[in-house]
Amino acid sequence: MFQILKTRLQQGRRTIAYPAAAPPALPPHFRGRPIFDAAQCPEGCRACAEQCPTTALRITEGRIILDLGRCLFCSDCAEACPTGAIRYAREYRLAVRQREHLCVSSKDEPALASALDGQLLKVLGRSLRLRVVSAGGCNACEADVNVLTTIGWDLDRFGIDFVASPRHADGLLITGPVTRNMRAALQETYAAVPAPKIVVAVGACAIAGGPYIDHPEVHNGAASVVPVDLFIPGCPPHPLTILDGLLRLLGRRLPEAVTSEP
Amino acid sequence: MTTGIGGFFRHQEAVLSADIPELSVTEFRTRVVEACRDGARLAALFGQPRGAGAVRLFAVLAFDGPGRLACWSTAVEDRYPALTPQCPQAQGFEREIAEQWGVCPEGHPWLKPLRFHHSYQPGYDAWGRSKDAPLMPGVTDFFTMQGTEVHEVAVGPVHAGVIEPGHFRFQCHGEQVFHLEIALGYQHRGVERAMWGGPNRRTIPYAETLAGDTTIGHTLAYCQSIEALANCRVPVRAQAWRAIALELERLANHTGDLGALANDIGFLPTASYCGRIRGDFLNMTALLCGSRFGRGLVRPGGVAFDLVPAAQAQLQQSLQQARRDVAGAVELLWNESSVLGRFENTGAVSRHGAGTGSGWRGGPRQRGGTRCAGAISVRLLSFCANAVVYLSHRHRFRSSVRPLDGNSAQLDLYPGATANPARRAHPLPARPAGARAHGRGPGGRLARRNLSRRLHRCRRAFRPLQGRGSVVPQLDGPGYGAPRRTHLRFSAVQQKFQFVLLWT
Repeated sequence: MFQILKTRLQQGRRTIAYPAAAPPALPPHFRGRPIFDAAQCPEGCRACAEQCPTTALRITEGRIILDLGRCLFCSDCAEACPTGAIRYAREYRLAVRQREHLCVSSKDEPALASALDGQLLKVLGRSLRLRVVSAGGCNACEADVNVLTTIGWDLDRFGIDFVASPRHADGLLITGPVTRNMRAALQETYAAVPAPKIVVAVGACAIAGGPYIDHPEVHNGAASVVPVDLFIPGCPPHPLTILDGLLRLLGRRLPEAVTSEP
Repeated sequence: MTTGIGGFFRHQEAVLSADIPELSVTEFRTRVVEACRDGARLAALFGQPRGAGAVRLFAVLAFDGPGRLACWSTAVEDRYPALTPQCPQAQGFEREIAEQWGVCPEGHPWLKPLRFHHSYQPGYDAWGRSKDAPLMPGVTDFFTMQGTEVHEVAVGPVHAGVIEPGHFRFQCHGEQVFHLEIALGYQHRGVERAMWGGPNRRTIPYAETLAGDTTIGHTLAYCQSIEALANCRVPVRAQAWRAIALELERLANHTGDLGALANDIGFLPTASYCGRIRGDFLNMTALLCGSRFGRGLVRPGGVAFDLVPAAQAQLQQSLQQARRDVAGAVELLWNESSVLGRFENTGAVSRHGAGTGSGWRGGPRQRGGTRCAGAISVRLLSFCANAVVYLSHRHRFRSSVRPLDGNSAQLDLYPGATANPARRAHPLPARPAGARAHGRGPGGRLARRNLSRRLHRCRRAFRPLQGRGSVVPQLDGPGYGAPRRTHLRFSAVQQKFQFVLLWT
């Protein structure tokens, strides 16, 4: 008993202050939103597109178009670039509501996720219960979703929680590319969630298939099986990115300041 | 590089496939069965197609004592006598061979599909299914028990927690679980087949995402195989970084598992502390490379990032803090008599039973016998937390922290020149003239020792302490079988007042 109290005092309060204060410090090599400057591209150069493992980069008529949904944030493109036109910013805010908002060119302003529509926000905005379906990924997204429920992030303080049954849930949080062997289970789980319901796709796999894109064994993401309301890109997304996306969906006020450059 | 005599070689040594002895099926079986009986581990057993339904089987055996590996092969047609009855370690491998190549291991006692996909050799199916027949994952035979009040609990593939999919069947009588059988394959995404013919630009992402929490382990295994094939020598400082990343990964996983064990028995303080501290370890990995899971760090030929001195100091500081936090959180668990009471005799698996699960998922951290046993159908005396697993995690956690100090010292010894300029799988740097493949210099030997030992040697028997410090139950005895009374020296109350006893 005394030991428990003593340890409790030693461990102290460890929940992050975000979103009331600035987000926690990100590591020096953190790879957030990729930024590219098409003006620096040499004529006819396709080095980045050829190096990309998931063909997330396309070059059409001199414009670079990056599909953040396919991007693994692996920095192979940045290394391949002969002029250093591609780099990774420290911007962690990446979640969007529409799949096409993830395809960005160099000039586009990111269309970050908006809140749910009026009636849905009224029903779910103050308390969101999600059922997590791991649909065949590598488990890293699941691990970072799990981290949100620890005392370090304490997702419960926002009224968001992960529940054990789809019957108790307001929606699904899907990770993994939806393998053939998980398709039926995902469909049944979705059907078991009472309406109105939402679906959140977390990670490159759940958005587009990730590294397994176009394998005959997978379905290239959750959207091929169920309608998706929020896309959170990354491989895996940082917990801060996931939290930011969920809070945006619920229309919570968030700090505007982006973490400074290192 | 040539193979040793009789198919023996060392870890990280390349072997020509033509040099691997091809034996008759009878001799192949005899050698594998006898080696396993003498204590070797069946590290891998797999097939390679030869066309027209013929398959060459390879067995890789690990001899822990001399630190050697052996590889033997044999040629089979559509069927061969199964190894599993004499060598239970082969059960999963033989199911995989049957599923992938349509070769039937005759006499396999429980020949079921493993990942629920069609054969890679069209027209050859071990179960005689047509190539268009729909396959339903988890729809297969399960072991069942009959009797009054015996009941079956089916769980998954979508679980109550945030975990990977799998289908579990528990055979229960009241609170006692007599049998657990697990059907997997829901995560089958065709990685093995996609890696054939590589390396290509997706090979590294495949290795990194085999299992998210073992990114460093699997990528390192892949890179070491490529480096062995290319006779490439990795800079010593890069080897030290790899070792540190590997240890951080282990620490994160063991901390998470210790918390999960506490959670399973409903002791929430340790569960919540360990969950958070696991995140701290992941953040330390992110200090190395920007990714909490070590994505992008390990590359053939070296590592992709060097650490700035400020971050190195921060890493040391975080590690000290995490070490204190884990010690506090876990000692809490260990000093609570109600927790000890729950762990006692719970889910303990005998060494004999533990030996049957080799090769599950292939991850380095799961090579220990006790952990593997959970993954296959092993008769569990009761279920929930596993005292043996708890002890081994605790031990491995402690054994992970120590070498980190040594690795840090190495970094100070070998400043600069971390990242090998050859970042990609190809082209690889040529071996410097005159250099030995395994770095026999003082630095090379040091780094190699840390890498290989930590990866592959984590077994040590636990001895019951007798009264000093924490008192632990006796966990493994020669007559282990039925549930038995506790072997604690002191009762729970006595433990509380142990210091008085020792003082008087």
